[in-house]
Amino acid sequence: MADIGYIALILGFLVSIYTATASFVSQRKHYQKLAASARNGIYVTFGLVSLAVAALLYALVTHDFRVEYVASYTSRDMSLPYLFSALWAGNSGSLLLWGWLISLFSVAVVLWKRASTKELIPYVSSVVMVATAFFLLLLIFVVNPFTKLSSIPLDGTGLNPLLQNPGMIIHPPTLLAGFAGLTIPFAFAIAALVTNRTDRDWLADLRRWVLISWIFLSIGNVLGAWWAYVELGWGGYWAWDPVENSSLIPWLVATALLHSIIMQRTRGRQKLWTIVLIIAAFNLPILATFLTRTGVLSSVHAFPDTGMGPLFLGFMGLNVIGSSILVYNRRHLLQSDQASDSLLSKEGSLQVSNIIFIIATAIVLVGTLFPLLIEVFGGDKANLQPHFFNITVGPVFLVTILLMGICTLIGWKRTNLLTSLRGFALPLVVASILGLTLAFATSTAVWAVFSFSLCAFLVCAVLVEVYRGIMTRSKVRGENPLKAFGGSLWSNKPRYGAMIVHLGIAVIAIGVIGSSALQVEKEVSLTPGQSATINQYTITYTGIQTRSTSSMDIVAATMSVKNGGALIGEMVPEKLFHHNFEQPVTEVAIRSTLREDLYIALAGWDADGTAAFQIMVKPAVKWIWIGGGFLMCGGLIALWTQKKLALRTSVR
Amino acid sequence: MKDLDKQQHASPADPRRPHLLKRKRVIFAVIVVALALGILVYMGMSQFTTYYLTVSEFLGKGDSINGKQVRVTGQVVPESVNWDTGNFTLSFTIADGNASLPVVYKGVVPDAFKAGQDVVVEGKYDPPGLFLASKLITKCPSKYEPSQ
Repeated sequence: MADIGYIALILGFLVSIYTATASFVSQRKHYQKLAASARNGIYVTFGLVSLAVAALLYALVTHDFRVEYVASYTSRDMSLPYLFSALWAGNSGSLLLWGWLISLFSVAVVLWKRASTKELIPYVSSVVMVATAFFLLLLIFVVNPFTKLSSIPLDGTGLNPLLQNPGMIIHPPTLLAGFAGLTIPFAFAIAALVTNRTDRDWLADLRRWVLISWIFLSIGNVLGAWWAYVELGWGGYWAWDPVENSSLIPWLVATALLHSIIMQRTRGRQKLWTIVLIIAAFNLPILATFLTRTGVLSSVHAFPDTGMGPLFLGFMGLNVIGSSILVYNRRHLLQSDQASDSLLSKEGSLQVSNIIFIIATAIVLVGTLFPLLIEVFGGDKANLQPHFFNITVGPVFLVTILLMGICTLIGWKRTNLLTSLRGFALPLVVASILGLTLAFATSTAVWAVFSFSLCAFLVCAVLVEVYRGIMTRSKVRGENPLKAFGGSLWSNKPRYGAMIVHLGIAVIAIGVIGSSALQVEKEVSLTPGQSATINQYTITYTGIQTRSTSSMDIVAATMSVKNGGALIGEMVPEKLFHHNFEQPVTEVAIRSTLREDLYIALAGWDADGTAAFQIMVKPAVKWIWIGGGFLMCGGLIALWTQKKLALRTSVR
Repeated sequence: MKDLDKQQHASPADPRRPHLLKRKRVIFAVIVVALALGILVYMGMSQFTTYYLTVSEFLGKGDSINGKQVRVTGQVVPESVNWDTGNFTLSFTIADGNASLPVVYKGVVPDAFKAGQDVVVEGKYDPPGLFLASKLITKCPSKYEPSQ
């Protein structure tokens, strides 16, 4: 079966190269039969890569330990969902999944094409097939997932228990889907340049695919943070580790891209900028994978050098140089349609927002590459403390929130300062009142007060804008407000989707600020029966129990928790000792409410029953996950365009 | 920025002006951004860098390293580990084959910590020969490397 998988990879590679060439040539020379053959090639490639994936899944599920990948990442005692997830647990498996997702999207593009841009599709297919071919080439020659062992082990090593968590089943595929998804807008941009498109209609396709990737990246990043918080046991959700940053950077660029596309669709401006962003968005995940998986960037995630480097560099070189030549050649297409407007307008704030996103991206990118730069220029090995990112990206993030609020309320045409201020009156007042209340009535840090006020400003701005929209519509159409709201939402889904996303960012910001500024932490050592207090909680340690299952031994500490005197329940932090794995896994006990999380980790224990705990109260953490939900819902709503909307854009 | 707006109003006739204006704005923005980034990088380097040394390199630095936040990497010497639950204190020695360094760490010990493992300690040197670690980092078992 594994052999079938490998052969499928080779055939898939050959067909994808054929399809790439045939698509391009057939559209160039208008050979109908070749075009039909190329279209079939897309489906065949997808079929072959799917076959390879199926072969690997089959090997995983049937415990075919002859295959090295299966032996390395699974064991006989694993349940089916985790056997499945082992597909992306390892390097070659995750690259196979990435390649498969690209070919899946290539089929989606062909099936979901719009009549007005169908002449672009062959060129899009060509580019996407080249990308697929790259991954297949990598898998065939450098990191074959179907490599066999010389002797069959009785049982596999098993999946790292840290990865045996529901979040880890969804987190890697969603991020990979985000990365793979960025191939499509890149392909559309290339296709539009090649076919000398000067209209704005194809931007609808660009937007759609960037948005799809963005949704996946948002879910992936929030899930990753959630997993780190729940599984890793250090009480945080983001450590600015190179691998984390590699998933954040494409998200930042995709966000910038979404806003740049708005500018291009409404004003015909920022065309070159959009193209530059999409080239960056496509190549950055590849660059990041190169840096983190070839040992170039040493982090505490140590990856062995697997020799993937040259192919990665070659592929990126091809993309960047190829697209740069194309852009230079077609630069006459990329001049702005309209002259620049004042900064004090929606357009102005959109422009500024793009700059801000890029600044954030640059900071994270430079910070991530920092150890590399220091070693190259300074000679010494050094690390950048994570706090650097908090100090630098934090303020940028706050500026973004302010900008989101301003942009929501400001008008399209240039206004003067006074008129704009009148529009912002209510949000400004609410934000100020909140800020002053927090500053004088509580002992919150100044930066936190300021940040919360900004979040309030944004939330208020969005609500004011929605209210204005409803009121205008209800007056004009004579509908009651509720009906007007529904109608407004239905006929303007992209705009409402965006507003939900902006609200989601505010919610996440509140969660991040709350859990950073207002966090309380204690390290205590308790004998059985002893209590510790943190804020209003009293936590009594009753004792330690050990129990065993077929795959692990569990040491559990029972704690009974009182909130201000009333017993609210029991929390059981544990340490798991898997038989297959050398080190224990900390299972933290978390009690999560909207207001705050109570977080207890079992740090260690003595033979006499004395146990050491790390206890934290982290306010508002739940808001981060809720905000993530907002991002997903808002993104999906924004994605949902009716045919009417599409027509309106093309008529223009 | 207000200045540039006035200029736009003042000379509507010359068609070349808008482009020049836009380019000036772009160049200005690029310079500001580049400067800001440069400052940040410099800040990062001076305030937020922790040097990464092996035990021998660290001891070789002598007195110049006293009081500076650094990271030292080495292997945990078996038999040297002592965990005091009551005080949340872990003491052990790290070595890199040529030299060894006693370390005291206060805090939660990561799960992957074991005698014989590679670890990275971050902290400051206490002159009579003790390293006070504020952070203890173990090499996370690679997601992409099967544990041996």
